[in-house]
Amino acid sequence: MSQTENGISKDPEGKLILKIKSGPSIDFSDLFQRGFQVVTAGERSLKDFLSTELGLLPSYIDERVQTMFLDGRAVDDPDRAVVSGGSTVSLSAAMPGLLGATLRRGSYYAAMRKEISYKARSVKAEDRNNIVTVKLFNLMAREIAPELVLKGVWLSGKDLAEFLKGRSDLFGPLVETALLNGKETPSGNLIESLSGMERVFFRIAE
Amino acid sequence: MEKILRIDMGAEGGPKVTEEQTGEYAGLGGRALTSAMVYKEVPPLCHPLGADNKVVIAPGLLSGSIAAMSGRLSIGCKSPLTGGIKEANSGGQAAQVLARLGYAAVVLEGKPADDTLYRIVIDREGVKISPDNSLRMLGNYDLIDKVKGEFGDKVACISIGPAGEMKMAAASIACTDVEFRPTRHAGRGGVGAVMGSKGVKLIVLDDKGMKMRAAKDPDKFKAANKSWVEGLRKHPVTGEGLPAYGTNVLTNVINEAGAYPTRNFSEGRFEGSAKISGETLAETETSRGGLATHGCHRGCVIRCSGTYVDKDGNFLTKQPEYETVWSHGGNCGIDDLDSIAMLDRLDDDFGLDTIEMGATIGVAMEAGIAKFGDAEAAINLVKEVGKGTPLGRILGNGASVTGKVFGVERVPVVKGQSMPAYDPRGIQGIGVTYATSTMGADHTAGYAIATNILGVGGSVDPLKPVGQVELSRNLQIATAAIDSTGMCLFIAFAIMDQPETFQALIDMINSFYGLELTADDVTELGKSVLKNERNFNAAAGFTSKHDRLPEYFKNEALPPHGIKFQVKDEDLDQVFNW
Repeated sequence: MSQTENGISKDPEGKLILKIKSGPSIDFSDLFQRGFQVVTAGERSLKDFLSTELGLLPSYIDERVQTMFLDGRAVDDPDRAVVSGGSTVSLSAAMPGLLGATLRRGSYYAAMRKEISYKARSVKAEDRNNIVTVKLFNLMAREIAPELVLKGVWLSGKDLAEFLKGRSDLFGPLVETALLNGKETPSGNLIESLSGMERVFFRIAE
Repeated sequence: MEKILRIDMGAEGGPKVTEEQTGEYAGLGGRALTSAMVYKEVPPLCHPLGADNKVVIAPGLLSGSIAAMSGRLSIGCKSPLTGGIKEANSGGQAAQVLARLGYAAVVLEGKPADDTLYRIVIDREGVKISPDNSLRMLGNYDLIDKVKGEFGDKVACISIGPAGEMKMAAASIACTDVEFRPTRHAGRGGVGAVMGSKGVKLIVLDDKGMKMRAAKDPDKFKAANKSWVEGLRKHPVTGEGLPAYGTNVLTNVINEAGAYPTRNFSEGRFEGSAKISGETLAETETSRGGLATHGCHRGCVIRCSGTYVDKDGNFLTKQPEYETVWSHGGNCGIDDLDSIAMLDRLDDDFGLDTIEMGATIGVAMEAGIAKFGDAEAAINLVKEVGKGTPLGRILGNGASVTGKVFGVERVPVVKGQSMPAYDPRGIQGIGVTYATSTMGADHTAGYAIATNILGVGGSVDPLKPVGQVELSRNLQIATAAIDSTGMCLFIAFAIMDQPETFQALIDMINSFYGLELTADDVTELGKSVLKNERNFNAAAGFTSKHDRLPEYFKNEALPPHGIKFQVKDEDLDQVFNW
């Protein structure tokens, strides 16, 4: 049930649609470094998860996603890494330098970080939930985020509020309307409402 | 580059200049040359600030030519920070200009009898050395402004700030960049203090009237350089990631790996990382009118640098590197980019190694001198260094000294030099390099070159989990070789992935000098450099006991993965067995 006070929404969950004017677009890739949430069921391979939930082609996964983490551990084989509820998946392009080379999937230098390399482990049923957090870094964010925001993603309300607050000068030139839980909401009220929300389904409409 | 310029700053009657042929040092450049000269000519037991130490300034083998990426300068000496041999490396314009003036090296020797400060001007006419105490205690920025007024902005400068004049062990040597700002530094190991001990504040290099260095086989050289540039441009790291975000692109990734040293190496993940990431930095710069893509020297095609402007769009500092954002950021619990940029500016102005300063402030925070996360306090501490107050002098001499003075056990140093931005418990192979490198804790000493391309240590099956000791050894050899060419180390990724790009580098060297080097020869060069450095350090009193991480890395588990450093001492002792 939607609750508001002086135009500020008090709901724990929300739905935000930003209608964007045509012309220059907003770069949302910075938002995705903090992570978005995917509702999932059961376990599957990381590669399958990326194909199904993010719509990534196998060739893109193989060629562009050069660095990947599952629960903070460097993944060498996304076909064998297992994603389940509660996991955190992070994707990055190829990174520079020795450390970048070391963390790269299937790296020749993988032995240098074997203590933090992904190894399959079982997760107790009671420890699972049905949310997978996905973080997109650097070029992955630039390349994947645009399509995701058109389809819609679940984000932390606080992260979204912080992102929009830092770009409040975009409201007006680029944002036509902001619909929060179906109601047109001015930017000041919007940011305050979002800050109090645990999860927000966020989408761009063009 | 057939000449070596020697300047005896302690000669009777005033500084004396001697020019000689390269002689026994012919064919060497960059780190190969600096380490050979320091090994042969500097008594290993000399005081680093004494007359017997030398500052050897050497461009690389291909510097001053049209070869892309060839603008790195090596500066070698006995380090006042570690007590061992040191090669510090810098970008900027100095290497290109010095090479075009025909010098394989400039060597500062001796020590003046009093505290007169000197400036040295080198151009096609020769060398002029003059006392100039009006330069005393000028920050590098004011110093370069003064030079611009007299010489214009087409020269290149090498200088020290107040930290070098005060002979602090964290003092750097600054080189001017393409915009004639003193933003590129030979940072590590206190090389600035040694230059300060020689009484040299400033070296002005003017190559007006000089031409680009010409290859012995210009057509082959041009073709090799074309292939070289194509290889760098098409690679996703050098062609896309680094130009878009700079080295700070590593923040999110290293943090995710749980190997991002946080609050003086007490944890491996920093909750404020997104606020100071490469992604956030690039957006901040471009939204304010700065640059996220910029080359530190002419001829750079990777362009990983940038310019950072303040909220009003005024230049503040060059785009801070990953190491700087970490050292002044996560390592001190600070998550504000403007504060980190200010700290970077102060380090450059006073002439300080940003890695050493950030690590030192982290130790100072652990000691309770300031609170973790207090950016204003961190800025004030660096200002104390610039002023040379008693506290500033302690801090300006690095983390090890600061830890001793304030009774801190957890000091992240090896051979007296602070660790850079990767926790060795998270990535244990880098811990092997920190422990065993001739340079002290150093992340660039064992860089990424595919050992199967170089054939170092024989053929290794890349599908087998090769030991970290073997990898560190191979990488240190390869890095030593690359450091000798004057090439920027960021070529490494493109070379590792693209054998034709590595071949292009060898072809460039061969066609430039009329040689027929193979990959094995490059390997032997790397080995010979390391051998010189190891021998110097042994004669200076270093033993295997110094090739170790501080004990607490073996005892303290690092969150979030809960790992301790596990590589055995006897394995560390195998790194240099080849």
